[in-house]
Amino acid sequence: MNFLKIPWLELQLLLPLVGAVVAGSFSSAVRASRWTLGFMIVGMFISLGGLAANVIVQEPGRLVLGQFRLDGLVLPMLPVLSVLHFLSHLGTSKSRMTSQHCVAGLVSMGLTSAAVSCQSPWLFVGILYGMILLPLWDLKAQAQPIRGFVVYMIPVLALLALGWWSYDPLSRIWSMGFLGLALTIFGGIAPFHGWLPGLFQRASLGTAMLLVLPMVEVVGVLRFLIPQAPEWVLKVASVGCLVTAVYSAGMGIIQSDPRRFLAFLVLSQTSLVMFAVMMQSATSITAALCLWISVSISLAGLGFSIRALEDRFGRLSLREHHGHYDQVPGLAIGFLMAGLASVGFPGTIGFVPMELLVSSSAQQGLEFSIPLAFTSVLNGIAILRAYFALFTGKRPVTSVSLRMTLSERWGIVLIALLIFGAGWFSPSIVESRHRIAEQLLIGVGGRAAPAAELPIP
Amino acid sequence: MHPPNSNLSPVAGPVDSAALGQLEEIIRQAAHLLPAQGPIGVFIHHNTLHAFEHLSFEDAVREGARVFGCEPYLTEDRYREELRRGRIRFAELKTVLNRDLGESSEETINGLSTRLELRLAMLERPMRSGDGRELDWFMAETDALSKSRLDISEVQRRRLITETRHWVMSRLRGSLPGTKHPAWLELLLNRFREERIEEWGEPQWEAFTLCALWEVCQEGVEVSGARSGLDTKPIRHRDVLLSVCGTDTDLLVNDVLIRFCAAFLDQGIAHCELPERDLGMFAAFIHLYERGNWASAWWLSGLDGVIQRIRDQGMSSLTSIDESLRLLGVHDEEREAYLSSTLLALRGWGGMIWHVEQRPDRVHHAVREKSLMDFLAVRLVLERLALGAVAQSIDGYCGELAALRVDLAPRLPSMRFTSDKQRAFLVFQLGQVLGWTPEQLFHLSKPAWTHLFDEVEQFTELERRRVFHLAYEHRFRIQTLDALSALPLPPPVPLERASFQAMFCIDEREESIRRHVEEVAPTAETFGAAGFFGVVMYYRGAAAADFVPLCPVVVRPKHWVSEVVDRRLLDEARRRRSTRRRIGMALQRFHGGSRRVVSGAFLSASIGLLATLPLVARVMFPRLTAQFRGFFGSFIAPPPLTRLVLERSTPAPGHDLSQHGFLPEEMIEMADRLLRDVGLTSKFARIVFIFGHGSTSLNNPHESAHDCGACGGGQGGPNARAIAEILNDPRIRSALKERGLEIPKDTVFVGGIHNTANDNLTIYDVDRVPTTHQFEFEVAEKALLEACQRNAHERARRFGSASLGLSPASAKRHMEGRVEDLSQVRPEWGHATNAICIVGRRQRTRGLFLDRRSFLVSYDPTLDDAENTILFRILGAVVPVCSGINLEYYFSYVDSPGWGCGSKLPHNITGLLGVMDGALSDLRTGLPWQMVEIHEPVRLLFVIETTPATIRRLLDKNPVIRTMVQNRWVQLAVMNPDSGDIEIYTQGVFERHLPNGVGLPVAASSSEWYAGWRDHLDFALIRSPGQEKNTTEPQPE
Amino acid sequence: MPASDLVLTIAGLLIVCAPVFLLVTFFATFLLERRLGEQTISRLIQGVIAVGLLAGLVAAIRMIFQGLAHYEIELGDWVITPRYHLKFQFVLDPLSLSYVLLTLVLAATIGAFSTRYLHRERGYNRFFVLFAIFLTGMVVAALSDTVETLYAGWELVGLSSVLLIAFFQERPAPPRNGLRVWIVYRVCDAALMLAAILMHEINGAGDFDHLVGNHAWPAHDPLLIGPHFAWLGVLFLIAAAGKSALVPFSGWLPRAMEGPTPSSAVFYGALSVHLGVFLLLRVSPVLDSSAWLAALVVALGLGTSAFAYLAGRVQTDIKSALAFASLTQVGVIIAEIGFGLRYVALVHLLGHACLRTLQFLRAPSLLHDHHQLENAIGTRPRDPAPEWEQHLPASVQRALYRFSLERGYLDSLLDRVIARPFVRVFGAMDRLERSCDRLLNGPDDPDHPAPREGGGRGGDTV
Repeated sequence: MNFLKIPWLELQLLLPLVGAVVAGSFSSAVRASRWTLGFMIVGMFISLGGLAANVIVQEPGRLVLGQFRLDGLVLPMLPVLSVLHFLSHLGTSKSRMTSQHCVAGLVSMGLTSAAVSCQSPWLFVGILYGMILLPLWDLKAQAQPIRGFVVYMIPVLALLALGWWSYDPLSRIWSMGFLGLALTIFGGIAPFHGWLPGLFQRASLGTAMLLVLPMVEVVGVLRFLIPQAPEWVLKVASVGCLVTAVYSAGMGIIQSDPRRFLAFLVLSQTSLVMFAVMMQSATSITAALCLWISVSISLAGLGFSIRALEDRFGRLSLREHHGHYDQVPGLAIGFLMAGLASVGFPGTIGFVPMELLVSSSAQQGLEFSIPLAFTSVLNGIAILRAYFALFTGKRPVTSVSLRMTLSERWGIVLIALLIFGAGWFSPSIVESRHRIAEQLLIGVGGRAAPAAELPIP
Repeated sequence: MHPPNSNLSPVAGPVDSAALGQLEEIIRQAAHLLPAQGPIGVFIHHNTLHAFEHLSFEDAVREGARVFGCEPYLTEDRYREELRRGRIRFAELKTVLNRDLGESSEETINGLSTRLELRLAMLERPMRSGDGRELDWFMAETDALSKSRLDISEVQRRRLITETRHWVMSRLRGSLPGTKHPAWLELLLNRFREERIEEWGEPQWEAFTLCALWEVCQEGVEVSGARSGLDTKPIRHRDVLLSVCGTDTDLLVNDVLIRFCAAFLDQGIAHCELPERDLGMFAAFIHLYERGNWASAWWLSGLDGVIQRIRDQGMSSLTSIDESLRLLGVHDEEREAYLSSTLLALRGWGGMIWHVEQRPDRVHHAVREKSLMDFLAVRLVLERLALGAVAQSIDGYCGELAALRVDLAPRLPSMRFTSDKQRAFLVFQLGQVLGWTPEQLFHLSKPAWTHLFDEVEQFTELERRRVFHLAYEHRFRIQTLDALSALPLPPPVPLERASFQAMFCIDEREESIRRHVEEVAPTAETFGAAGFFGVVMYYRGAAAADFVPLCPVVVRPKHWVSEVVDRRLLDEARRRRSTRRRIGMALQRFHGGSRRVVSGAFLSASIGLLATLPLVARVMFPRLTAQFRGFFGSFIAPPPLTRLVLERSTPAPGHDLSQHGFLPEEMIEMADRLLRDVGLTSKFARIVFIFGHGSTSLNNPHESAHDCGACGGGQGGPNARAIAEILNDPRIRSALKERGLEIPKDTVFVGGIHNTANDNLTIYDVDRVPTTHQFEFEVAEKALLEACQRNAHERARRFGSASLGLSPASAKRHMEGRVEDLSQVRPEWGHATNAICIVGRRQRTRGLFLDRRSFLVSYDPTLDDAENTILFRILGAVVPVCSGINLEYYFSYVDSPGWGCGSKLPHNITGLLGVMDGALSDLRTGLPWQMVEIHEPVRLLFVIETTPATIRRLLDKNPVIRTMVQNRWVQLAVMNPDSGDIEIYTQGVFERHLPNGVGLPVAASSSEWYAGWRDHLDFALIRSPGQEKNTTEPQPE
Repeated sequence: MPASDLVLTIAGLLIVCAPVFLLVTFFATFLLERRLGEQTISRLIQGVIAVGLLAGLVAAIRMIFQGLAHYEIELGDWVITPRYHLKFQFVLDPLSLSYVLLTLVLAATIGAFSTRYLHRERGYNRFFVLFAIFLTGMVVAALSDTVETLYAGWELVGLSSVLLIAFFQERPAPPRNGLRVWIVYRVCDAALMLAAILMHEINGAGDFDHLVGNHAWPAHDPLLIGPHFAWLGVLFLIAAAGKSALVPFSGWLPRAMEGPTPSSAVFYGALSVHLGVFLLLRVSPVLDSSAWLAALVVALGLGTSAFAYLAGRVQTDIKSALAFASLTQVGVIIAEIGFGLRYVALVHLLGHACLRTLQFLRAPSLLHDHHQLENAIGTRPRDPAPEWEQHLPASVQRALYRFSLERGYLDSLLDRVIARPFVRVFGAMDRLERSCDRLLNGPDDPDHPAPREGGGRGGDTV
């Protein structure tokens, strides 16, 4: 078969499911984990293959199974999602590894890939249902209370169902409203963000990250909401996102639990992406799409470091200085790199997207840029504060060796390469994202993109 | 923000003066714990744990470690490293341990191993640990459960596996009735896939064995029952708050207090003085802070109220302390503990205040008496405010300060006690090391398990380190004494006159130069005497502004001596002085000006760029720059012809020039004493050199710690010069002759100074050497300069930045550059590596390569009287001084940031008094790491050429030495003056040291022996091939 | 491209690439888990700086001989979208070349100094990695011709400074003070970021050229000055104030002295603290746009100078004294810029940086020097306070002293006005959120305890 003709998307969607079945069939966690790792690596290559094939062919992919399409929007996202899942699996320590964990990881990989490439709102709703169930499963397995999560998710599910139910091709206002509200809660936009820190605290960190970091709600908004929602709704929503970003950046600074710190950082960054989407100019959507990539990767890296630390030292507090630098210098460096990349430090993957975002916000007015700059200030402070708390301080006296394991080492190397390596590809990424953004805006139903936004021939 | 409780609640009861007296006494007691280091410009070495000298060394370090939160010994890993490289011998470790355990060493523990075996294993193999969580990770993520420890033998490993396999296959899986089955067996077999048990290879069985062992150990912990840890109650409010809400009130208090202390004590860095400084610290504080200020730190809000009350009631610092303690709810019986731990919270500054209060003569700006009390009063006032403010911010807390500790006690997290995991892990490791099979352990009963754990846990880390340390010192002691016994007995006293004689300080840094002098000039003799050479004086050089005391720190001089320029050159001298003064003023104006607004702008904009020249030159080419500066400096230095004002005619000594100097009788006394001390009463050479020593270096706040300890951290050159001049005086000589000490007419004494940093030798009063001696003088001088080069070469081997292939001349150049290098943090090693002090005739040690590790005190027992007056007075000075140096190095090395002052790199000179880390920290006392880095922390070993009976008498007579020796702060051995037999003092008895009889390695010269080696070296006999071989050759091995 | 341009381009690129090469080397060794030896690192550093210095000198000489006062090195557009483009572009002109040469000369000296000073230190590698980041940032910022490039360099300098302050990370104070400095830096970064955006809005690009037209620095085309320039100027001023520790941000300066002496020398004495000044010089056309802006700059400069002088007089440790002395002059330089004396300011900056570095490097020898000076003068060297002060009433003197001792209350004010309210508000929100969470989920499981509750944190956090 010709390289270009390989059914990349089919493989991408089916492979994790096959993998989940295979991994589930093992009772031994070690073997299940090994197989899962294999599937994930293959999945990464498939997503890269799809990307390469599509770049060569330069045309939107076919419709697969009637509902999925490998279009420009999802193309770079699939490798990112694979890397997210791969890192999450790599970062799960042997002692926590169960075959259930493996299955959940693979299923999540399948679901998120499906969600971003899904073209139909209703299938999307279904996939979201599935994604919400995974953390529930995890919470149950950890014998943690699920009420807090359920209380928030029931409205999400209900609203999604309502949206589906009230769907009317002619007047979509109601269904879009329901859908939008559902996505807002799912995206953790204040004041509906209460579930997120709770989930980060109680569920296993990997599961929580896998639910939040892919930011499938962004796809939902882009594909289904933007083209149809009235402008004022988006305006309000964008203000909400911005407020969330600033608020959770501030909360991130004062947290004493690294997990809550991470939760608020994630929240702040994801709402920045949402904010950029809601501004619906070509530049801002470009920024959103780039930021989506950079934020997922760098926050996954941050989560990776925090998990590795927690595995070793249990729950840590950011009140004291723990001094773990000497025991695990690699993790310290990884933490710092990933953290700074997530706030757009120069030289990293996050720099250009952040610049783009701030710049695009200025087009809307400085009243948007200032909170943005403020968010970036606060997040930067929070990250260095956490770094100092975790890694500096008096050296602990542990005498067993706690050096990084091989898989952790690989994880950190991968993150480092992505964070710095991808910086070099920023121009091409930005360029392709910009094309997509314009296409998206052209597709805005009944509302042409402002003339200024159109590409100059 | 006002803490309602800290400033307004009235103090009940009138202040009782008796109680106050008691309080004052308590503070005085607590002050003893403070570091005793004075201003850094004159560094005096002293025992860091001076306050604990009444305890035995082992108890003192344990107690000191607890009180100060520092390490008592090196880390276990360090000792184990030494074990691996042979610095500690396993056999000796066993000996030491055996002696330590006494008879109980052979008891077996549950039939598994003997106590000795167990303890040896715990010493030899690292017993790793971590907290429970870390161990979980370690067991799960590493191969701890699949591969045996790497440090056990193959035989052992296989035996463990085979026996377990046998146990599993035949007992557990077999159908022996009545076999007890462990509960974990099923799970484990399942995990390893029992169905294929026949096909399990070695790796599976190894993993299975280890898992089984781990399970058994965990079970054992459960069986033996939990053990509760010791819960110690925090004494200070701050500790309670720190663990309850994570805010450290000391940070807040220190922030204000450090700045204030520094301003109060400053000796001249600030341009602007603290107002009302002379009224004392407490009064100055009250004046400065009496007004409320809305902009000052948030927690200081109530300060004006507190101060108002202090004013209204006219409180003194003592009454204020009393009030603070009452407000804080500190009961009378805990006052002592509370106050001492409060004082220790900022011990460097507290110690400095205490010291300056005690010794106002050592600073320019003295402070009032009772300043420490002021300090404590201020601290407690600030603490009350900080505690109140922080306590308020805890939600739901609004109680009184006095009740704070009690109220918050329930919120304290319980102290972490040894977790079950840790105990299991310990036995798990021991099981592998000692070959305890899972089966053996599985059959242990509950009391047996408890016994096992008790046994293992009794040998705590601290105990292990103590034993290690004993073995560490043991090795070195044995080596030293073997070397001393292997030395050939001194040849019968040489008949001919030595070509020249040279007297140096007893300092162990002078050991090498003495050796080199003797190597270069085999016919010369050297002596060691305390580097002030008996001359106790305040001295002022021709180019110096002020007098410095040059004598041991315990003595306060009564005489003043100054250096004046020769009358013929007075005009020149005056001119030069005024040039120096002008240049100095200009420089000072420049530095001061560069810190001001307008002049600074003018200076930096106009000539600022020129600073690049010295900047680059001094950093890139330090030696060249120094030579350049030296060249120009020589034009303005005082003219080289100077004299000491040594003799006075007025009866009373005084500060005035006419009162400078000594009376002839005093000089006779000094001369007589020095010569008898070193045993130089006959066979004077034609030239006798006397060398003091000192050290100069840049970028070194601790410069004076490299100077002569016997001169109280000064440079001993003037003392040498003075005593030489005294000894040359014919009147003194004739007086000495009357006392039976005849110095030949043709003997000339010459004073000088040896710079231990760049190995320069300066000889004074060369113009006074008679022409008759000119030739010999030149020959001797040449030999001495050659010795200096060789000495530099020997020192260079210790510096990583000096290549091992340097020639002596280039090594000397390296040293000269090093000293002038702004970026060099190790100008010289100072006293590092000091370990021995030999008191006796040089003939007994001549030719022995002592690697700059031994203080060498010349003492001739044959010349001493029946009461051993000479020995007693020598030791009376030498023991405290040398042990002080040794112990300071011991502690600063063992825990550098704790007892010492940590790394030099962030040091910041404060108030010309000491160093801080960064801009706001406690005053750091002790020695910096860069000074002690190559030290071997062992207690000083005294080897004294005398008899045990004499030592017994000495110990009876001298309480200071008795304390040091009996409490084991120093080690002591005596060497029989006649036979050379050595006896070691242990626990009140002298034990004969049996030499190994192997003899010493022989090298033709020192450089041959140390060539190519940077680390510590063994002892060797240096004997050039030309030297007659009248002694026995070492036996071939 | 004519040959002369090629030489300048290559020289300019070499200056930038040399430190970047260092960084890449360090990064590669981190990935490969290799540790470089002290010797290798010291040679690398010296080699790289030598290359940069040589290139800088060649460029300077060439420009002087060709009479060029302005030369741009375009690397092309990095990112282009219709509404936004990000360009990496460097400029060689008297300002950038003299600043970059200053940087390289001082870095060479400090590099050589540090290789000996940090010999056998545990953090040797870490120090030089941070040093390389610092150098890269400094060079990039100095040569930058667009505000984005400057921002990139600016942030690198900030991060490396902070991590160097926290270099002795085993003690609690360095990280704490590092964090404080970081907070100030972030705030001024945000100002710079907003300034960059505003520049884009005004010009459509972040190039400094657009500010100065076709003139060489410091001349500019008055016609290009737009209406928003005053705001732009204020933003730049805030950014510069943070970096150069001007009032009211001066509190961080003494805190920054936790690092090893060479890094103190480089930062507070010489380079970092002048970076804000450099920024103002670079954007000086903006300052000319309005008189009140220039007045603000002068006021800020003189105010800082006065404050630093007052605070400097009471400092009892040598490093703080020098730091405030440094700040005194930085204030004066800022004022000079405000007065429009660009070249004077530049010369003043260069001279001051060199002088202060030398003084910082000699700080550990203070006792030695003091003693020598004492001997030369014959009395204790002492710099008395100026006369006029002694005529003030005692209470004023006391107030002045306390003001100086507490460093103008700048830190405590920031604590009171910003940090504590911030912590209190967000702390309250946090407690609210947690109690909501508890309401929903029930109390925490003892196996997975939520971290301890605690009230407001002290002002020491933020």
